[in-house]
Amino acid sequence: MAYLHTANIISDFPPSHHHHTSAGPFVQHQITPYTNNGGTILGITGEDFVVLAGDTRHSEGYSINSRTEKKVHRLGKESSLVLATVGFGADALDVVETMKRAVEDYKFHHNKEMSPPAAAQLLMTILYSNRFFPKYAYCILVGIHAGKGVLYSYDVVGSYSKSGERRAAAGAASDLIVPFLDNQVELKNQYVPYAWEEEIPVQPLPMEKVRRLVKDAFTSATERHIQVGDGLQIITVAASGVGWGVSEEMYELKKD
Amino acid sequence: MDPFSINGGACVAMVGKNCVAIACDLRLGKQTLTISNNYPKIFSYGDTYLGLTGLATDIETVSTDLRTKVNMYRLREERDIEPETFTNLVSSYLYQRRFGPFYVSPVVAGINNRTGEPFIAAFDCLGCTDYSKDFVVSGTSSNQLFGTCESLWEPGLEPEDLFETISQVLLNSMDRDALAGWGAHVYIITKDQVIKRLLKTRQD
Amino acid sequence: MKAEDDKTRILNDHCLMAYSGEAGDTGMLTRSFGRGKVQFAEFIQANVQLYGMRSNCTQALSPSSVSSFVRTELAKSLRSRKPYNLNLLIGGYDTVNDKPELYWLDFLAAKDKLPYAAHGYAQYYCLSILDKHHHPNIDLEQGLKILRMCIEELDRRMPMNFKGVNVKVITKTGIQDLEY
Repeated sequence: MAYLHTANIISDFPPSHHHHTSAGPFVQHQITPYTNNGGTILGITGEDFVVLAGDTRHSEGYSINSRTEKKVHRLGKESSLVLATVGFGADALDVVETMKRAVEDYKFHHNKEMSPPAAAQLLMTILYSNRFFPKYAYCILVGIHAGKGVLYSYDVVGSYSKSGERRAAAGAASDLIVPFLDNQVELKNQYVPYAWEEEIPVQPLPMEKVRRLVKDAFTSATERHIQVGDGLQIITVAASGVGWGVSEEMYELKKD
Repeated sequence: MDPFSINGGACVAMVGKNCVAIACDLRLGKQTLTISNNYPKIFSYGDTYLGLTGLATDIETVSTDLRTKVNMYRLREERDIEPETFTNLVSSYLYQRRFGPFYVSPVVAGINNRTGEPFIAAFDCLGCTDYSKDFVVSGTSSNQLFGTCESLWEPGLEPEDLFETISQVLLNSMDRDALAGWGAHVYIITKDQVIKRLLKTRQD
Repeated sequence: MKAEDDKTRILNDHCLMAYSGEAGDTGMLTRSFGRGKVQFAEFIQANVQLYGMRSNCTQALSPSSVSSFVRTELAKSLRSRKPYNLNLLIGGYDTVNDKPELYWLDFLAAKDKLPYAAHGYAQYYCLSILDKHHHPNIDLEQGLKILRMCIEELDRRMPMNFKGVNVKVITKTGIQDLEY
């Protein structure tokens, strides 16, 4: 009787710990489907370029698995699309692989590159298709669209803004970085001196300034967050005339 | 229901060139509901300043208890308490409640009256002191404050630049924390004067 | 608790305390329930008067002093074996400085001096109305008008029906019960 008590097992989903602790016939092995692998990603757009960066530390609890694991990925050799993911490393990589495959597939079928708005919508579909067992991956997708740098950011189930964003940060140290970006990119709380509450107008930042901000943000986050550090991968996608170019810079971060 | 984040609040202190600054927000809330937009969290004890964030009831209890203690100190010593001494007082006072703590995160700022050295310190709720040469933060926005402090602060700031820095740090951090904000107080402390400013902020 | 129970206590000539919370703690329930015979509201009422007599001042305790005293008692209770579960509003007229004052205290003994305040569901229904219509220089008539707006809102929007209100006005001449 007790051996075939399957109904009890089904009703006991997700399995509770204390239920089967007595020496019964069923031993339920529970696996944790997610791990937090730390790390932070950050993207900032300019007028005709976009910068996407991520640290290269991959950790689990207080252990460091790798100091050189890159989080920012190009989605195709001929594509301006770049995707950065943080959260659970395996899920994050899986999302990237799925996107890479879809971008390649798109080119094979249509003989042209997938546009950033299309890729953005696709990424949402992929993330939302896992709505009830989400991929634990926070994504930032960037690319060049109509000569402009565009950026989209997502939560784990695919919520994103179609019109794109000027900048985004995600992952372990996003709390530390976001207010800094509000201040330095969106110029929040900054007013014209000696003018009566006149806000300083927001203008697109030059590329060197953006790279500087990215490095400052990460060195600061490294200083105060244990999951951030080791190295910084900065990928810049710049529109040049009708085309575009992608470049990668590696920057040292503290390893403690 | 974490006692440290029922009422919300933010506090930060910074060292500059022969000066210190301490700033706090003005919100008093009950979870998501804002009760008051005029609840300062900085208290002065002579020339030493104390910022308290955490559970509002303990902010009141701790600040008034310390007031009594500092007044007694002043009567005995016939002088104001120095920031270093006050820091030890706060620490031992909090540790007396080791197994039933006050849910507050204090921050101390001041200038030593004899040496003229700027001084800041912060504590956990049990009284473990964190001495710092640059800045200390506390409250529900502490992550945001750490991020902005670390990237905006630099050594050797003059009083007016220190005011700008601490204000930008607090304002931008508060704006990313739903439990803090609704106005701010900033104190700029130099050897011979203290300037208190009320900051106009977003009201959301 | 009966509907017509008066949930206020007069603390002295110019100080009134309104409370809400666990019935036993307010002193409304049978005295043998819960802890002790005298519950918080009554305890405070008696002790504010006693405290006032002991400090042998010619003047009665100011609203700010009363609120501090009440807060201290509430704070003591918070870390006791069985804390009071009581939210309070203390209204008073400071006859020395010629100013009306209002204090908000919750069961955690958090205290704040406010221009207008509420407890419980009334916070969600009334604070926005007060935010909009209250300003520092309103007179009694305008105040009562805003109060009426608040009560009408509660009547209209509250899921459960509350059976009327007690309104008391504190002025420099003392505390008056208002027909409502």
